[in-house]
Amino acid sequence: MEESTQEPLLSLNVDNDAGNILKETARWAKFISIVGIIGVVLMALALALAGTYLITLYSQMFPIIEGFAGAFIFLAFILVAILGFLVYLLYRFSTLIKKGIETQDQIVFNSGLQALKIYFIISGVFAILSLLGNFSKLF
Amino acid sequence: MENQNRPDTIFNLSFDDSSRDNLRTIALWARICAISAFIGYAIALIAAFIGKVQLSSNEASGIGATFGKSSLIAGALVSAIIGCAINYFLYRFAVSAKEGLESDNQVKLNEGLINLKTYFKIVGILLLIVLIICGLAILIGIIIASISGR
Repeated sequence: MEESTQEPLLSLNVDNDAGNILKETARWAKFISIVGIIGVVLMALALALAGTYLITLYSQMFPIIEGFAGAFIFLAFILVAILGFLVYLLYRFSTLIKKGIETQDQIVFNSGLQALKIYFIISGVFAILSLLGNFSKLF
Repeated sequence: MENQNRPDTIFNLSFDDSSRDNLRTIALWARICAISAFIGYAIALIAAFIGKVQLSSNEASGIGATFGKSSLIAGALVSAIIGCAINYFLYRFAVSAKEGLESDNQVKLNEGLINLKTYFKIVGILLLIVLIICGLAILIGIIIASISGR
């Protein structure tokens, strides 16, 4: 007669501890993402308003980029857009996880984890690229 | 009476197939991020020690070169210590979460989640410190500008 109690013991649950830990994680992730969103907006504004001035400044230090000002601004905008997408994913993770736990909605909870998954995949790709960049410093 | 042995299910959510799959991928990429960071910091340190980092023309010789190099090494060392401390928690999260998911071990999984929380907490606190420093720098700049403007 005790059979029905066996199944939950074997499966992983979002118990009290896990729920509280995830809620606090979401709180910090939200703070980071909000600061990140403000930073990305400021970067985009700086690029839009003073992009050509910044390129002129850099081209004095590195004359090789002088002819590619437009391409560099375009590249910088793409980088800012990717950064923006990253902080958006972190914000999405924080809000969905919190909402999922509070309303005990499995689908919302899973969507939050999915946002964190995409965040870590993009961060991982960037980490590998910067590692390759670091390798080039040695040679 | 039958329900007395049930685990505490105030939270009715569970790590179902979809969330397990998501968590497994998160753990995998978190591990990649952490290991890449560890290797990156090691390379940056080596580059600073063997002097492969470019110095400006003023710093390229004499006392300037010595100060330039030692400040580069100090900078690389500080960033490596902070970066490794942060990424250590990310690595611990990846290892514990993977182990917890593979062995259906709730304690291990929660241990992993605690490490993820600590990772975000440290990043958040560092961000807060950077914001405070930036705010102070702006404030000092405004004060200096207003004093010199008189």
